[in-house]
Order: sequence, then C-alpha cells, then structure tokens
Amino acid sequence: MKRNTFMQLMAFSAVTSLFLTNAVMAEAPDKARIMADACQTCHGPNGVGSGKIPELKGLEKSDITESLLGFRSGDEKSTIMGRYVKALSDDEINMLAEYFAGLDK
Amino acid sequence: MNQINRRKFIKLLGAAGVASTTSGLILPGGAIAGSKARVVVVGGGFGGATCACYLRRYDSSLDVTLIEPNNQFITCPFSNTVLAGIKSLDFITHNYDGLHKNYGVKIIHDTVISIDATAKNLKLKNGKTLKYDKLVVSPGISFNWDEIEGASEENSKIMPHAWKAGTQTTLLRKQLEAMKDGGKVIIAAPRKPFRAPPAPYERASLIAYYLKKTKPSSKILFVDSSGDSEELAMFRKGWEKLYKGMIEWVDGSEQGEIISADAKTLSLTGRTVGNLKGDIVNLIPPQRAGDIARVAGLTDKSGWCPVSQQNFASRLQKDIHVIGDACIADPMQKTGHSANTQGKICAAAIVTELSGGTMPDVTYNVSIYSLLNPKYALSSAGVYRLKNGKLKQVAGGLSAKKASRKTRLKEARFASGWYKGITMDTFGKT
Repeated sequence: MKRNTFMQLMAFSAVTSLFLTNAVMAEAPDKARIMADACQTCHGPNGVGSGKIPELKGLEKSDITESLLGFRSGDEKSTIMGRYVKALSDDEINMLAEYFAGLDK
Repeated sequence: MNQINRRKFIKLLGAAGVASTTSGLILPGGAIAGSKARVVVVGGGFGGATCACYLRRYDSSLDVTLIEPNNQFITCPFSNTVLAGIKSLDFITHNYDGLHKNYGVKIIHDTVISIDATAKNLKLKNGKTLKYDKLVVSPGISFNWDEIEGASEENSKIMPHAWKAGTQTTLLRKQLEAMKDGGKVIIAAPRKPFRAPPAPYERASLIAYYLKKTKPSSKILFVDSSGDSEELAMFRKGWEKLYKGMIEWVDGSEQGEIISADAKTLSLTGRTVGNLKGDIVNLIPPQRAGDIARVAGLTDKSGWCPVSQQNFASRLQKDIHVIGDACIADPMQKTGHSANTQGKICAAAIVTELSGGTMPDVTYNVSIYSLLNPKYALSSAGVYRLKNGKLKQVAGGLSAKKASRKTRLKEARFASGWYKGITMDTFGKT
C-alpha cells in the first residue's frame, strides 16, 4: 500500500469510526421510545391490536394530547387512564402524543 | 473526496468496516460498540421473552439467545378463567415463533444448570457451555415446600397449587369438575411477597362463578395469609353482590399461616385457624426466586434477588441482570406486567450501556386486572419513578370504589384487551 493511500485509509477509518459511533449511539432508545413502548403492553404493538383497548396509531397529535390532558384533570372520564396519566408532565404528554402521531398510518 | 475516485472510496469504506468489526470500537467509559455483543436471556416468561424481544428491537446488531426449557409458555394471567371453564388452556398457551421469526431471537429449549459469573458462561443440561457478554436471568418462582409440613411437589398432585400454569391448572380444573354439589374448596394463599398478589382474590371469585352455575350449594373457604387490605375489601363487596354466602374469608396472616398439610385427609392446619378440611385443597405455598437464581449466587437471605432498580443489574454478580418475579423491585408487585416492564427497561439499559449512553428518566408502569366474573373486573394501576436510585410510586391506585355495572363491564373488556396486548408484546407477535 502506498503511503498516500495508507494515510487516506487512516483518515477514512477515523471518519467512519465516528460515523459508526454515532450510528451505534443513535440505536440506544431515547426517552420517548422507552415511554411509548410501555403503552404497547396494553394498547398492542405500535399501539394497535388489543381489540377492546383504544388504538393509538394514526391518531392526530392534538387528539392524543387533548385526551391525556383530559384524563389527567379528570375532565375526560376513564377507567384506568386517569390513574396512569397523573404521573406524566406536560412535556411527557406532548412527547408521547408526538411519538404515536408520527407512526406510519 | 476530490483526490479519490468513487471505486477507491468504496474500497476504503470496506477496509474501515472490516477494521471496525474485527477490533471493535472503544467508546468513552469502556463501552464496546461495533462488535456484536452476545446477550443471553434465561427464562421465557413475561420478563425474559419481553427482554429478548426488546434487546433486538432496540439494537438489531445484538446476538440475543433465549434459553427456555419448554416449547410453549402457559400464562398465569387468565389461568383462573381456565379453572372456571370460561377459557381453554389453548387460549393461555403461547409459542416462541414470533420472537424468532419477527425479531431474530435465537431460541434454545434447554435448562441452565449452572452459571459462572467470573468466566461469563453458563452450562446447559445437554452438556453445552454458552458464553455471554451480558446475562439476563428471569427464572420466575420456586416454592418453599419445607415451610409447610406435609407439603411437597409430590403432594401437589393431590393438593394442587396451580400457581405455575399448565398441568397444575388442568388438575385443579378436573377436581372442580369432579366435585359433588355441596362440596368445599379450600384456597390457601401465602404471605407476601409472592407471585401475583391479587390473583388469589380473582381465583376465589372465578371458582365461585363456576360453582354457582353448576354446583350452587358448594362453598369456598379462603385462608389468606396476606391479611386484610383495601383491595380485598373491594373484592369482598363484589362477592357479597355476586356470590352471597359462598366465599368465607379467613384471616390467615401471622399466626394464622398454614403450618401443615395432610394430603390423605385433604386438610390444612394453622396455629389460629385450626384444622380445616376440604373436598379440594388448593394450597399455594410460600415462594422464593426460581432455583437457578440461588444456584448462581444471585439471591440474598430473603430468597429473592437484590438488583439496581435502574437497570436490574444484580447487586451480587457482575454483568448479570435479574428481572421478573425473582428480583426485588418493590414497591412494584410481582406480576406479569411488572416482569414485562422490567424486561423492556432492562433491555433499554443494556443497549444504552453498550453504546456508552445514560438511561433517561422514565416511568415504570404496571396494571393488574382481576375478573370477578366475565362481565365484572377490578384493576390496580401503579406508575413508578426512580428517586435516589429507589422506585417510588408516583401515580396509580385501584378502580373506583363506587362504580356502575357498565364501568365494571368496561374494565372486564379492557382485561381481555390487556391480555391480548401483553401477550403480543411479550412474545413478539405482530
């Protein structure tokens, strides 16, 4: 290998390493994903499939936010969601609404 | 790039790729990335199956192997509906195809007989040794037979516990079918901590549902070593309405605990509750973490496994995580939903650690549905967060004390939905 090519390879290894590092780092699930994945236990994979429990996928962000805020304040009646949502901050409600609204419809 | 042509560029990328996969990349904090970390999960119940599934969902480059002796998993949730003849055993039986086909989890049907935490490997019953970088142990429960004189695995064929679903569930169901009208069923539930604390209440309810339909003069004597509680009061109110006079609840806490059992006479004895004789004895013994946890040195003197509640890493052995009923995660109760939640958090924590990141602040969610009949359910919800390294309940609670028949029916429908959702989620069904 010529010295010039070797130096280029080293430079590219460094760049690729950085890229791979970022790629691997990006694979670690973020807060939105981990918290949204908790919803799937009852609501089903990607928020669908558990029949009698309302589906989440394909809903508008504003509808999800409105429902969750309503459950939390008690303005919207619920059997169990009101008990759950009291744990969530406004930011978390917004984050979850954005996540489910962003899933492929 | 102007000094290098396209072909050379691709060649260089290829070379860099090889270099990075053979040597791995060392990230800050000593984390390994770019190399294929090997994670082995022991136990294919709600904890282990969920964890294996989510490890692959969060990082598809991981080499994930699930070790489980059985080809199928029969769930404890909804097994009380099988006892009552509402659902079949097939309904609560699930396979591991989804985990393998949809998520690339490798499945080995075998039993782990020992774990070497120093050499980071484990031995299987078939003689093979398996190496791991990270190990997740989700062994469920074992029974403390020796705490009740006369109780044993052998005698459970006469006095079934039906607290691990499968042949024991079928056995208790057959006994209920064979019992004459006017017979007495004793349900003896152990002191906490044990698997699925509200489930004895559901069991008493659904056995009463079956008896009321088919053998209405029969009775249930429920000896409860957990003692009284706000939750029990809600069930007792329901029993009064649905099964008046059929279920007699006896406080078996503290001195009342069952201390001996006689399979020949179908009787149980407690210090204060005296000698109790039934036509059927459903003896649910006191419990501890599944045996492999003790063999591997993961249990403390309580019989359960101390862990970090942030990532479920064992406090006793390095690079081993313990989830599900076996770990000490209180105030989370030992239930299928808790195990499912812990499986996900543990998977996220392992992937985060391997990539050198930090786990975000997230909630840990648990719901428990109990049926009093197919159209009447109560639920308990718990939301937890880490505060100074310890889980604290931040929201949740029981169903409304006063509610319409319609609300109880809605919760019964949600119970079915919950079961469908959690089994799809846990076993990687799409």
